Amino acid sequence: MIKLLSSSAFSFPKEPARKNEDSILPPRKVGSGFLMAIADGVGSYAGASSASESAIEYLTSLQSAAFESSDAIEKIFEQIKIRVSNLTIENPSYFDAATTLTFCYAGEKGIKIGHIGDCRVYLKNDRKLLQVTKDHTQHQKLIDEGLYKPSELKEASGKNTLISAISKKINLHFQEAFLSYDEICAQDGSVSLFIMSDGAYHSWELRPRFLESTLEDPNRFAANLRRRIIRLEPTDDCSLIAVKLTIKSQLELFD
Amino acid sequence: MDGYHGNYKYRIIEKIGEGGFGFVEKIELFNIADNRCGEYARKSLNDLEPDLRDEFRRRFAREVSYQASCVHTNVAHIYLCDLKSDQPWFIMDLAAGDLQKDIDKGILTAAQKIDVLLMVADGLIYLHSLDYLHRDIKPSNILRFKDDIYKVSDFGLVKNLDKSSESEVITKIATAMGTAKYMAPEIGIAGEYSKRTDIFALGVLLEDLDMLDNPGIHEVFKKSTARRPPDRYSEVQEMRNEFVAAIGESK
Repeated sequence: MIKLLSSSAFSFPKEPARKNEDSILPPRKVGSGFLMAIADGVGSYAGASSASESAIEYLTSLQSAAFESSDAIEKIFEQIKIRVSNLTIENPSYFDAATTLTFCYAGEKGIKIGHIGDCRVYLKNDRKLLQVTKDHTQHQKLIDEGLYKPSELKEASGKNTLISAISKKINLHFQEAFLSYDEICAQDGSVSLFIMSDGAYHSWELRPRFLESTLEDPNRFAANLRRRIIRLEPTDDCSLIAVKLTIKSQLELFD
Repeated sequence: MDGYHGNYKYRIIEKIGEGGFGFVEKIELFNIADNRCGEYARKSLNDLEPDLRDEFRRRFAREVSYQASCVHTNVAHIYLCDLKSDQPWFIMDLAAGDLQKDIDKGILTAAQKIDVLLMVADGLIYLHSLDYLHRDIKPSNILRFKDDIYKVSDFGLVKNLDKSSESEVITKIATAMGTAKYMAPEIGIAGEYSKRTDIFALGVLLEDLDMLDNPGIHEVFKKSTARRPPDRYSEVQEMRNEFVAAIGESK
């Protein structure tokens, strides 16, 4: 049985007066597990926030059975694509509307991850955060294919250019992953999971370290990261979901 | 007369080409005083389904504005356009042929092939100097005019590097654009376009022109079509210089 020990989340726009095009789903009890997600509406196109909202709204409507089948992730993305495509019915100027989406369902045996775009899932491992998802960006893909060395792209544009998103016009390319608790739980049976939008991990990446005690505690992590983002000035809308889960039963926790 | 535009009128002679989204006609152009200006080509966009209409009209307008802003011997020039009508159109010089047909016929001499490549390179150097990428360099888009002057044409996929407004998703869709044989690997993989992808296509042109027997030109070919973009020439001028040197050596 998976239990939520602690969680914290934030989502705020680049500038206070601007609309926040990120949408988040903080940990929500679904069946015997927990569902959480961040969707980042692809800016510069009309309907960015409607697209990210419709992705989160659809996830919110799901029951636990929706995460059980082997093609669950694909089906979820397909359904969201239909909803994003249908936004043009309500507003014809939304024909380019697009969103990224990264969600985690922490079920009985492990964590299922569905991912399209450039939000990231990190897992705490020892004193570091390990990035679990791969960014669907031009640079990442070019490096993966061996066309460029990372140093050759350092100054080049395209770092944030997506090669995949949920949109009427784009074929779905998604990543799915399953992380079994056997492999990822710390000795005390806990798992610390972080979902960040690009605005948030931009600041994290600059110096990807916090005190062990901060990494251990989702609330402290969120407060510290938020402070850092504000100090460096946000480059984009910023969202974070930090959770700490445990597979040990309440009683065992007192042992 | 079949139509008027500003101080000009035109008569349609015949349809000379057709594509998925439009067609090209041969026309006769007159000024308002009925003086015959000559024969020209008119490219029109079909009246498309509502779903595609807006986007293709936008693209067509972009094609016209970029091509019309170019003034160079080796870039086909646009004279008149009407972007407001149901079937938007523009008028350009009437080509005598295109490079694909000339290659197919096998009529080009070695000296002509060299000239063709230099002309295309010059047209491309000019486009790049305006911060434009052509993105669809191939023999059928290189038109032949009077006195065997070849010009780069078809600006349907031109991208302005200067414009940040052409952002992510458009780039993503761009993965499907262009013609496979002339596409650098990074286009298919990640939709990345740069001067180096135009250089790649220009390199493939050397192969089309059957010029690789010359070892110097073969080296230019290899460098311009290298798999890794950083291994290619960074500028068309650099490629042109080495091409000229290769011809010089073989003489």
